Amino acid sequence: MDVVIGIDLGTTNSCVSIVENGTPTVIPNRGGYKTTPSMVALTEAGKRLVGHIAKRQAITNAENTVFAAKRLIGRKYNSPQVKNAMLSSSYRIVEGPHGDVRIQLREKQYSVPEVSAMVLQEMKVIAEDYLGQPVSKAVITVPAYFNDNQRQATKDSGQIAGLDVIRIINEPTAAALAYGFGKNIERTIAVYDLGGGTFDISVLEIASNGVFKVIATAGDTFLGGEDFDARVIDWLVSGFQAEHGIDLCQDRMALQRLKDAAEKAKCELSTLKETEVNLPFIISSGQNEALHLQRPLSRQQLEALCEDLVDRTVAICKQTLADAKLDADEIEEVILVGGMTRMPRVQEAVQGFFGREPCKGVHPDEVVALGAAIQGYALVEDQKHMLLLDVTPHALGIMTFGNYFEELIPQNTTVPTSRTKTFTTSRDNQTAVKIIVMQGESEKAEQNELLGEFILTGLRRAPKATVEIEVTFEINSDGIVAVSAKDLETGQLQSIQVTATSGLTQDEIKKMIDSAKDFLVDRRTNDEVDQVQHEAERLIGEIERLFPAVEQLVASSDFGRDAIGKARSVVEKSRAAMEKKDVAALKEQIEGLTRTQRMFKGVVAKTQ
Amino acid sequence: MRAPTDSVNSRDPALSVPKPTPGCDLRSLPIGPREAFLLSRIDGTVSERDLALLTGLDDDATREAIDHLVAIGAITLGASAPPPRRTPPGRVGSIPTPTPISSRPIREVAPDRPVPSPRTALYDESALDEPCDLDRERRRRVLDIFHRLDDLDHYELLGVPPDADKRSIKKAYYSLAPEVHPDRFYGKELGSFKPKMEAIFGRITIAHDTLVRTERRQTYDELLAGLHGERRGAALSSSPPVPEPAPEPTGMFPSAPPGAPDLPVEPIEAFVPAPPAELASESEWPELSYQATPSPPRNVESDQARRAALARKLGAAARAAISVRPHAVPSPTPPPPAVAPEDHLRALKQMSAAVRAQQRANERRGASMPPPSSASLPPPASSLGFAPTVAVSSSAPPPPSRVASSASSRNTPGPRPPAEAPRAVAPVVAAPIARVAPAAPPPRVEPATPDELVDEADRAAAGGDWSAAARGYREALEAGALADADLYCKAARACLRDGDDLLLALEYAGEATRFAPQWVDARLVLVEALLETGQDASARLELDQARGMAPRDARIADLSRRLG
Repeated sequence: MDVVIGIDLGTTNSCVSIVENGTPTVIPNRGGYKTTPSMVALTEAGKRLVGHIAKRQAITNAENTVFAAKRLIGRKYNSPQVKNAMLSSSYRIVEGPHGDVRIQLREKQYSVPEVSAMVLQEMKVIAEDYLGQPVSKAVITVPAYFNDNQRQATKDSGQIAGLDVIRIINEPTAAALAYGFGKNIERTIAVYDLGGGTFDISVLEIASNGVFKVIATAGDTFLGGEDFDARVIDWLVSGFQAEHGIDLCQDRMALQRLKDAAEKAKCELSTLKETEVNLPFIISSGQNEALHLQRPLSRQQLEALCEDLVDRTVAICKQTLADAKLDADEIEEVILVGGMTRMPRVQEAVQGFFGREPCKGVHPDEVVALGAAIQGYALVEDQKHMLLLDVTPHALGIMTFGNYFEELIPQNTTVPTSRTKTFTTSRDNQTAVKIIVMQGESEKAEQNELLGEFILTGLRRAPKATVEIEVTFEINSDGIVAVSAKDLETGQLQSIQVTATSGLTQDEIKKMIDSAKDFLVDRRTNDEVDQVQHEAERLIGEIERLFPAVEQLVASSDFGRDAIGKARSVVEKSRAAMEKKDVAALKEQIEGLTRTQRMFKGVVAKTQ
Repeated sequence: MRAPTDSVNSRDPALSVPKPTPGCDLRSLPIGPREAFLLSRIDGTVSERDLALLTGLDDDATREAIDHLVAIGAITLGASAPPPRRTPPGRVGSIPTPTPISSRPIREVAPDRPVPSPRTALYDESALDEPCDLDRERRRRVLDIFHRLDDLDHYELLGVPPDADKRSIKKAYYSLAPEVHPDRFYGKELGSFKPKMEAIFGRITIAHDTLVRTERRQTYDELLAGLHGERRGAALSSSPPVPEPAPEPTGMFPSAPPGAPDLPVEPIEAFVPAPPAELASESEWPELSYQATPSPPRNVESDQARRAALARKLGAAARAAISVRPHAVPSPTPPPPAVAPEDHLRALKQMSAAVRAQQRANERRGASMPPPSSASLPPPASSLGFAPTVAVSSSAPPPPSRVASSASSRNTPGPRPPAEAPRAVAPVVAAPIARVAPAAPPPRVEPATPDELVDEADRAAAGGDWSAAARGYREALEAGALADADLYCKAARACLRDGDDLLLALEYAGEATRFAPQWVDARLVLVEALLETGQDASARLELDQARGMAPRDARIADLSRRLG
């Protein structure tokens, strides 16, 4: 039987484990620690350092030491999250050739999966040293709320590290597996996972025959221990600024020291009531005079600084329970995962919300890796006793006419699954449709993540809304998304397997949407209101597109000015009717809009 | 030598099913031509009686040959009968009388017994032969359920009574899930069974998720109640005699999971006889009784109609129409013999829409269009739910528009008929949308023939008048010119050069590549059209394809420069 290791690739720390003789075990690294910092550094001599050793030299080599690469994985350089991360990172984040994120270490630029691969490789070596045999297969965990692009990038990292990633599973789910493994229990549980960079909440049902079914999951990929640290750093920096008039953020080395001190203070305050941040010689003033930073910090102060972060997690918990149609008292056990759950305020908040004391039986730093190993073991062992039924954390769908996002697979759908919806053409004589596959929760298409696109051609020429196109989404048990579109009349079929790209920014998606708007499918609806509304929107869009050209061409004549004036008023009236949802009025305007649009088209066509 | 036991002698030929002995070396056995012929028809599912009909041997000769084969160990006789099979289409006179099957306990299907065949030929038996790591019985189970997915309501699928409580629904779901989830077979080659198992898993999950939520279940129950009435209607309207309904529901699974209260159950399948469900012993996994439910004799029409009705109802119930099907990968394999319910439904829909369109067209045009012959046309739309025989022939007929247009449009090769032809009988496919198809364009005063139009357009193109050329090609195509890759390609190029209607250019280019996927010129025009309309990503994709066809074409280099 193949050995499958389970890796918890964390934002700040990573952990590797394995199931040995039926018992899940965490594998300690060479230093004897069960977790390894997810840090990578490149020394002046060009030597690559990973883990504790990288962390130790971070202060003296801040610019070439990468931490929290997980926050960047699967994201575009222009995304707000990356911009945000750039503010607090001491290493250089640069733009790659395809708008992706690159990290500059000395002379070389590395992609984020490459950097994560270095951490994974270290975990692989730790396991191989322990087992005394090569390891090739792994299950890697990701935050439940990661989207497809981030999952794909994580899988790529594994591949770069020489690992066959047989499954990517969600961190809270992994924690639940470790909690319920071999216990033969029947229970509804919640996993509250507040890690270094991300927050996840999952609700699961465990059946007595070893089936784990995720009921609902939600989270925030930019809410974790790092944000708590950042609050402390901000507080220290602003205090220092007030006292000395110097912005410590401008100095990368000072920033790194602040980071370490903030994290240390935060951890200490989980057990102590008060601590002191003491950073001698943090920076030199203009007059060659060394300045020190020395400030006491109490637990109460820390809690006040981070109160809203904790509240955010509780709000997400509330939403998740509502999605799962469960009351807080129906949760029979609450599991805390992630280093941040050591904070007393967090524990209080969880206990307050669920009305029960969280389970003490699991180790918040190791449980995720153990779960990953268990899932790997459950897949490859011959006698399969355990089955995990996970869900899609995000809705999947396509973009429809009017830049709407039409959901096909809703959030929290158990996979494997497949869903089909029928759409129609959005304009007359449309013989091609473009299927734009997206992921997200927003009704507005551009606010969601783009996953892929393809074109179905050869449709019958017909008035709009009379040709039917059936779109099918499938997610198989390996998590691979396949989308197909079928012309119901000819049976013609186009399909793609969605292989996530590294994501586009909202602007890029908008641009793409604009260029594709003539190819979109429309929601099939019996609702007349929608029909009229769509029609009006389409016509107005067309008119506005032609406006500048027409204006230029005819504005010199009286007749032209008059026509333009009339056109403006028709558009305005239609808009007003649309806003008031006055269908009757809008219907009256449609004719005027149609005439205007035809006239505009004629004018432009004639003069070309 | 021949010493058949008493039980063999007294067997009922309709119930006895010979089954080949696995691993038996037939060449070494003393077999005559008659036995060999018979042996070639024995597949473990055909009853002795049917074998007689299949081979044309008389009953006694069949029995004698079978006795001989049993005696020499070439076959074994199933101790239990398979359910009576539905008559395969086209085979008249072999309808087995519905046999009483009430005495069949569910536990009968232990793995070492002959596996009863699915009641109806829902799938090709050869599907079981696909090489994969599942044992044959499991394959059969998967296929049995997969092909009945649209037949079963949520309760039947999970094998719970309609008044089951949440707990027993959950219990049923959690014991079924591991049976069909591919993760349980990780590392094994599942072949085409994997998507089928995933489809089944998807459906049981939907069933579970619906039934454990009070309000969803309520809505579903209401729908089901409505459907129930329709089923009765279907039963009454179908002509063949229908056996008396039995008091228990049928299902893939035991009607109640072990431990669940044994409650009296409303007859769901009113026109289908069902056996009294004897429960599997508590220690058994439900898998053992998976396919065990004896299959009731079904009548084709009401069955199909019921599927259609169920599919329709369920489709309306869920916010999204849900359909479970194997991976949607275009596959060269022929479709299964049975009509997929959704195809069937669609065919009906299209036909009824076509009829309506036809009627409308006739109204508009007076008597200019002769009504299509009644043989080729389906009955009116009101019969949608309970399709009469003519509409449920074993393969869905192509939509009438295709038939009509391909007949009327001379030798048009492509799947897209010229624009004029379909308009005459344009099927309004999206029937639910209350929208009247716009009137046909006014007839031209002096109609030029399509060929003339093409010639004219060619001349314009040669003279560099792209606007005229584009218009010319468009008119030619709309007038029904012989549409081929070349014409589409020329039209696309003209539209591109003209620059007025780039979308049209794109459409034409798409058509051209569809007609001639390997023609690099067409592909390059498509790339250009995509470029012009700003579809860079797609353009890149197409260009890569073109590069595969003609790596050294200078135009490719030019276009990739334009792509950047």
